[in-house]
Amino acid sequence: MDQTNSKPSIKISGSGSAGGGDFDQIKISGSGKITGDCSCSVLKISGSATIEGTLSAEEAIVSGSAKFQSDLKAEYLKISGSAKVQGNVVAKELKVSGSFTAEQGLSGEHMETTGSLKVSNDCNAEEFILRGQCRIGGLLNAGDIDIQLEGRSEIKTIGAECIKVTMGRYGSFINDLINMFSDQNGKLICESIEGDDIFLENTICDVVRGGKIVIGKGCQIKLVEYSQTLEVDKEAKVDTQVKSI
Amino acid sequence: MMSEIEISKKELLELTQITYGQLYRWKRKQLIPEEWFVKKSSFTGQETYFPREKILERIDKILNLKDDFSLDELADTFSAVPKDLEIFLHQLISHQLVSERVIENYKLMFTEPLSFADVLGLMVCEEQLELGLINLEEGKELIQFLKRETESLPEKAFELKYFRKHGVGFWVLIESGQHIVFDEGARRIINLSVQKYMEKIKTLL
Repeated sequence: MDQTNSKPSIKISGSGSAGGGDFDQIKISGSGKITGDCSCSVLKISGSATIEGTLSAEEAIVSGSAKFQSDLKAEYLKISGSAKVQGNVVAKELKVSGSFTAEQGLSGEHMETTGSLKVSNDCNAEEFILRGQCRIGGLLNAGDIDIQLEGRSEIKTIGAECIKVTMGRYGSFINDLINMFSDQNGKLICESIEGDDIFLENTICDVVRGGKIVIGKGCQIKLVEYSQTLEVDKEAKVDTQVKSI
Repeated sequence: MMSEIEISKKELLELTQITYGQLYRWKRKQLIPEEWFVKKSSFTGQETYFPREKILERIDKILNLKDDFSLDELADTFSAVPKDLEIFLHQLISHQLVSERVIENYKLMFTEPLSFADVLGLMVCEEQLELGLINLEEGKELIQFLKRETESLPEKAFELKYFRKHGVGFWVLIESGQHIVFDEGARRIINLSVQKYMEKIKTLL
């Protein structure tokens, strides 16, 4: 840790720009721009910032708005404002309570989103928790997936050990009221879902394949292939079900 | 890849008795290369196929070794390229990794069989010349540079970068995840992960 003390820090609180480099802390509270590749122990953006080069940080916190034009790598990444990354994102721990857009791939270990998450390509995680909305254009590959739907989410394909998709239940009275009038509330649209242990609600999907499968309320599935057990709720629709060896 | 005998994902799971979860975990941990997942459309939408022999051999290895090694350790052993690799120029052409035109330009620099570093150099030249990011002379410098670094290359995950300042360029080989800092005038032209080429090169074996 002594070493980091010798590194310089940057603070932009009005409007300004800086080149790249190796820093201790980068704090942008006004409007700022970093024009080169940089690494730092802490990045804090509470204003608006554009990072043109690659960024590698131990901790990156965006509570304002940020745009990263190259790759972003962080041990801990927290977005409570809005952020967009045009390169690849690797974040060991990711917390999104605002909106986060990864225009290429996203990978990490623990991901928790309570706002909105958009990933154009694949998303890899050991644990993927969503209480909100997401749109993933490629494969969501995770050990554990726990999704509580709010609004409409789209994930092209899912592959995981354990998948649980439920309707958002809190604020129940208001939620029920909205549910009565709107069909679009809390839905997951998917092409295929594959996993060992699958529990789905309100999911519209072409193919679901796995070991133990529960198709709950509000699902519309064209084909289910299961190797161990299958339960289908009476309020769900499954066109074809096949037990595989 | 196309001419090889394939196996569908479903067939693979039945044959090896592994689960979807395991398959996806191993993919995530990069024990099974991305390129082996070949998507083809079928009546149910899309089906995934694998090169049969390779995937069966790989899964057999994983199942045998997974109790003694961590998945990360396994990933490292699978991505390493054997040092006694023997590759010939005509193979690069027939596998469409490097064009004849590029080989024609540099062939006097090589004695066959080629080393991993030689093949890497040629593949990078092919790509970057095509993109117009480097010129023939700069490609030659890369090939010479990699030849000198041959010994250390397959051991670790490296990144290969090309920088230019005031029109003068130079190649940099750096262990993945490390940082380099340059003064402002230096522009990074190329940034590649050597790892990515390893799997491609191994398809020649």
